Amino acid sequence: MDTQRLPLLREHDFPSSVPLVGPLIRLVRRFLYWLTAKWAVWFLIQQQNQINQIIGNWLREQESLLREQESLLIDLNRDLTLLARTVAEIEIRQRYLAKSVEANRAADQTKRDA
Amino acid sequence: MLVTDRLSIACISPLNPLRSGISDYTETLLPFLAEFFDLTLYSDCGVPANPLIAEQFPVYPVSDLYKHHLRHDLRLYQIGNSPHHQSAFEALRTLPGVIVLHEPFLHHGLYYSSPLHYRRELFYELGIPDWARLKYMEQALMNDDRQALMDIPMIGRIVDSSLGILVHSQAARRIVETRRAKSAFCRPRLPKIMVVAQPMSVPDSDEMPECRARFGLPQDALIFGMAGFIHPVKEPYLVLQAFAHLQADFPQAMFLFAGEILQETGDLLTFARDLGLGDKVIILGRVEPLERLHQAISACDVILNLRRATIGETSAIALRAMALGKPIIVRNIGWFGELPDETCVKIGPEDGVEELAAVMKALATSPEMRLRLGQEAQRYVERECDPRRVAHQYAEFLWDVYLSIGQSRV
Repeated sequence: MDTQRLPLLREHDFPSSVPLVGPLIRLVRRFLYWLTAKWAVWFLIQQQNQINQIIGNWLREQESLLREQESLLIDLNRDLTLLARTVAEIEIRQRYLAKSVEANRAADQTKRDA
Repeated sequence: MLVTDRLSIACISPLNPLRSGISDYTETLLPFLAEFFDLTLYSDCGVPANPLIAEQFPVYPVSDLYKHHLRHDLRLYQIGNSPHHQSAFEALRTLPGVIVLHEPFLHHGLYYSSPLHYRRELFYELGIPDWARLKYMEQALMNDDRQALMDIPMIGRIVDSSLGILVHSQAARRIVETRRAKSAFCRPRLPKIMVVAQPMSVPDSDEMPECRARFGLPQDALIFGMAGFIHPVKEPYLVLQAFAHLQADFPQAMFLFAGEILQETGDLLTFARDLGLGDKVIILGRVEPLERLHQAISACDVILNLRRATIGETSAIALRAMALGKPIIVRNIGWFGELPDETCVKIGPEDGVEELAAVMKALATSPEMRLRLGQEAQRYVERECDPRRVAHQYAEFLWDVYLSIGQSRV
């Protein structure tokens, strides 16, 4: 749903497609509506429009928050990439040093044996 | 302080029976690489189809890499633009290593692995959640509009995270470096990049008459061929139009498609019939095994391997044809443009039917020219693409990366 353009509620127009007397039927219907329900319906429409506006605003806020979160996730994703690379490098150094220590120890042992 | 042990390398790559050029590539290289390193293979191929690989190397699923990664000194990823690399793409996020980037363009591979992950990688590249751009890229993907997609090659994370990058051409190197220059993401060190040739053994070539007999092809015909996957990017329609121009002067000429014609390519046979070439064009479909493909290539006099747009890829088929001593026609674009002039015939990046027909005619007229080009091409492959030589270059690069990281100060 496009939250930028929430439509407003409107009163019904009571159209009639009957030829010739159609406009008269429409007029009678409108009159009856005006007499019996207009005030209550108008009140409900106002209420519903307000509710829709609140919901629309709330959705827009959520969308904006979601975009912020997405941007944050992209940053975190990039940080994770850098971190993963750093960890990989540290693991290589660790193995390299362990091998070096082992090589030196073996060399010392050979010297001592000699 | 010297560490002279053999390095333990985790190789992450598709292997046969996964149908991928990279499966063949890795299987060619592994025995030679094993002379330098202790190799453990990680692949989602199940049991490798190549018994020599299954016997010589331990093979695990890629998911086991998360458990085993501390056993290895380095990880070596073979990455290309195909969903066969799905688990490797995932592993790369947390377990970076040295990457062999077969194409510096990963749109199809990422998208068809997971559209959700494609979105993640695209936003990683852009730095912002640009939904309009996502829709545009998806549309370009569906239309296979490579020019539009090349603007963002989707290699951002690889460039940012890898410990080293191997590519197969200067064109690919330029794409990687351009991406790196464009990146707004600051990072302390840039990965080493090296260009290595694509390994290609020179197979024992079968005699042309024998190969032609095997496929029921006439011995006296002049045969032009196109091999491998027949994709629109290889311009089969343009090639057929140019081939039609030869008919007046060379009525004995034929055209052989030795490869699977992809759905998006359309109906080549109907097109050939419309050009009046119905009985001159032969479509073999997918040619297996590799020895049979070699025979199909050997049956041809000239192999065409054009590209309308390149994504920085090399062509194993072009190298195979060269290894078999066949003259090839390519466009002067990307890796193809880097081939020495004496080893192939190049047409311009924008050349059309007339220009292509002219070089086809020149080759058709001169058996000496075909022989000379084929010999030079074979010598080039022997010299530059020898798997032992490539494995040696790999070894130098991997040791360089390993020592430069191991000996660096924290």
